[in-house]
Amino acid sequence: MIRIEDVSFRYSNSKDDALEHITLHIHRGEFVVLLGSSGCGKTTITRLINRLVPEFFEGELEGKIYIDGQDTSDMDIQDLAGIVGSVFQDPRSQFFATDTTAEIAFSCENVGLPREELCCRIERAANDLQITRLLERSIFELSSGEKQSIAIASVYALSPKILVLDEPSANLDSAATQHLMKILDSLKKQGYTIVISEHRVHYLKDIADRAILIENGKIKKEIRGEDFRNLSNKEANAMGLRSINLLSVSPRSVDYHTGENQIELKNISYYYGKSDEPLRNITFSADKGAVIGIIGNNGVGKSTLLEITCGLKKEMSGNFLINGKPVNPKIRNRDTFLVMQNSDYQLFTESVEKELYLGNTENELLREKGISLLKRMGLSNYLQQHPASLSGGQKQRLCIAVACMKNTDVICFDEPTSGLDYISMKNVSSLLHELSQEGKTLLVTSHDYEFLMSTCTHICYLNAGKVEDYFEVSRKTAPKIYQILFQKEEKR
Amino acid sequence: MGIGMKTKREDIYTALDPRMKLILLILFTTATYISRSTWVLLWDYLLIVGLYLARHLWKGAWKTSILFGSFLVLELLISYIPHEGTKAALGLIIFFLERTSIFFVMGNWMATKLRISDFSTALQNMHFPKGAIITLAVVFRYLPTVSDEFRSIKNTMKLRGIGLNFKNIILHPIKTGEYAIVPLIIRSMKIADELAASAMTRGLDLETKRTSYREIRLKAKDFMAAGIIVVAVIGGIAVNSILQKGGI
Repeated sequence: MIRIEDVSFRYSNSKDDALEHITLHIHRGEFVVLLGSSGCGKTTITRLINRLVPEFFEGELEGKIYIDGQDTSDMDIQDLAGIVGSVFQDPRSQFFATDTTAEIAFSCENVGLPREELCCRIERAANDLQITRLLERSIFELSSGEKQSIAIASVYALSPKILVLDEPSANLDSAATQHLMKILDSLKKQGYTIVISEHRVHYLKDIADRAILIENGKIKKEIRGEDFRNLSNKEANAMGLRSINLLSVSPRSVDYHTGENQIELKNISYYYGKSDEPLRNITFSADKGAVIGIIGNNGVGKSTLLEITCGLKKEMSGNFLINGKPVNPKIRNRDTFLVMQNSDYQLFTESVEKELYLGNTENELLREKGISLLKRMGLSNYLQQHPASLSGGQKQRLCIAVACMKNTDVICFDEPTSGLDYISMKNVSSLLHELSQEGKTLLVTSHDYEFLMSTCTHICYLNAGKVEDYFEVSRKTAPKIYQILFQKEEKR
Repeated sequence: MGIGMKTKREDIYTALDPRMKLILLILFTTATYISRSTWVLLWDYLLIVGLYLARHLWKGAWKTSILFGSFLVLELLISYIPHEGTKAALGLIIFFLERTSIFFVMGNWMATKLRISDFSTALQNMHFPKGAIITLAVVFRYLPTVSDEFRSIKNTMKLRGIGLNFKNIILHPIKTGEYAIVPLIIRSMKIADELAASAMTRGLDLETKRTSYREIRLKAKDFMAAGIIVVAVIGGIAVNSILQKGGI
């Protein structure tokens, strides 16, 4: 079905080859997972198949690619639209329509199917993927998981032969990932050829026919389905992959107990608009050095809680105490920091160095601190580089460095590991450990079980606007965390 | 009832054909530049707020009224400045602000609940070049998310002590503006790129004639509605110039 013959590729803005002599044959109906750490070239392979490389992302291509028996070198991306369906990482930036039905119809409309046929196809796609309840809704109301289902429905409606997915679970929570697995499984049973690039692989282990490990643009290893299923966490981590058996991930062993109270929330309530669920009487306290993992369904107000903590939103009632003193949002603006999921919003200047000193009055002491921080974040070689030219992980570390420069005792992180591979996730985790050992209190929202386990000291479980549960992370509470993160699937 | 035959409540309000909306956008943007009169401006402002109200976009109508209202108040205040030079300079700035803002306000009016697929189909029926359709589709798809993106940027600015507040805008206007806009541009470029890539793999670029699961046809009522507004705008300019010639 797909034949990639001795392909090498180099992006036109890069000095290094993204792919070197890749030869890969994928059969009809096969389910192939492309594995590897960030930047290894697995995304580039998916782009070879839908021909975004070299048509959209230009560069030097050698070798031949055959899709469904046809040589693609004289084809356009759009010629493949009916054969290859593509689903991307971020559902926010692959949608054209503002309502779901139009979105599902979009590809079919472009191909020019007659109207009656179109309507049938939309209905069939919605029925087959069990998303009829999502039809005729505004795209902006949907959760990430629902958006990803719509994205798949949209390519499914055109009934292509091949489905290419580039890290589709990167922005999904655990339950939505399970749902994605079910959809993929049913597509596989219908005979679709599926190629998926991922580093969060636990949800794919039961359905993959073959896994291919990519390293530095080369095929390092082919793993047969059953070997893939039997892969241990250790083996997976060594390949830069996320753990496969989540339940055997052990909690962090670092001791943090300081016994000094840092922040305290007393009956914090917040209510705004119809879309957000209100937060009611949020009460908990955290010691210096505590890392609090905030978990709960999408839209339950996890991010709102972080924004209240940072004083970006003002609580309607209740008290927020830092070091035993009640503080208003303005002071919290000054004394906290929020590292957002997307670092693009957080960097303002034209060089890494300037970024550090922005908002601080520069002096010798600060300079020294800045330089040692950059060293610690592995950014010392990029002092004069524009922040926008850094990789995602580097940008995130720069944001953390900025937070440390501000010398605040409370730092919030919104989904710091979405889309990160094992090594990057571990890096973030150990950075957070260091911060916690310095006595900083960290609040972290996340869906990432592996990350939560290896990073947090406490879990704060939000449900229906309240703190449903608050407990320490230990071997004993691990199954509870797992259950909370994955339970929603059964409710659906 | 099949899909596509459904007429939801909101469809009644968004029913004006996207082509007509585009014409109105161009009409309002140019009309206020044709006439220098504040009365014509006021009339157009009223019409625009009326357009928001007609589509039941209450929040938009409210925000637009506040924006327009504050422009008019500013203009009034400026007219009391005794120093002629300052008055002329500020008057010129407000003159352009009052008029260019119409483009954004109308753009927002058009983009709210715009069905981009309808819009592309409509443009294709008008034989618009493909490249232009894709560009416009990306722009209109991106517009509604800008405010969200901007909120995140504003939040970070606050936390970094370079907040978008009165003090910073007065003391460091250029720096503050730069901090607000640079991340927005970088983000926009990235999203535009991803959107375009997604559109390509889904065949937006295909030469075949686009179809639509909803019926896109210019109906008599589209012409009527647009016609009334065109007459109202042009009429406003004409009446104003007649009155001025009459010495009032």
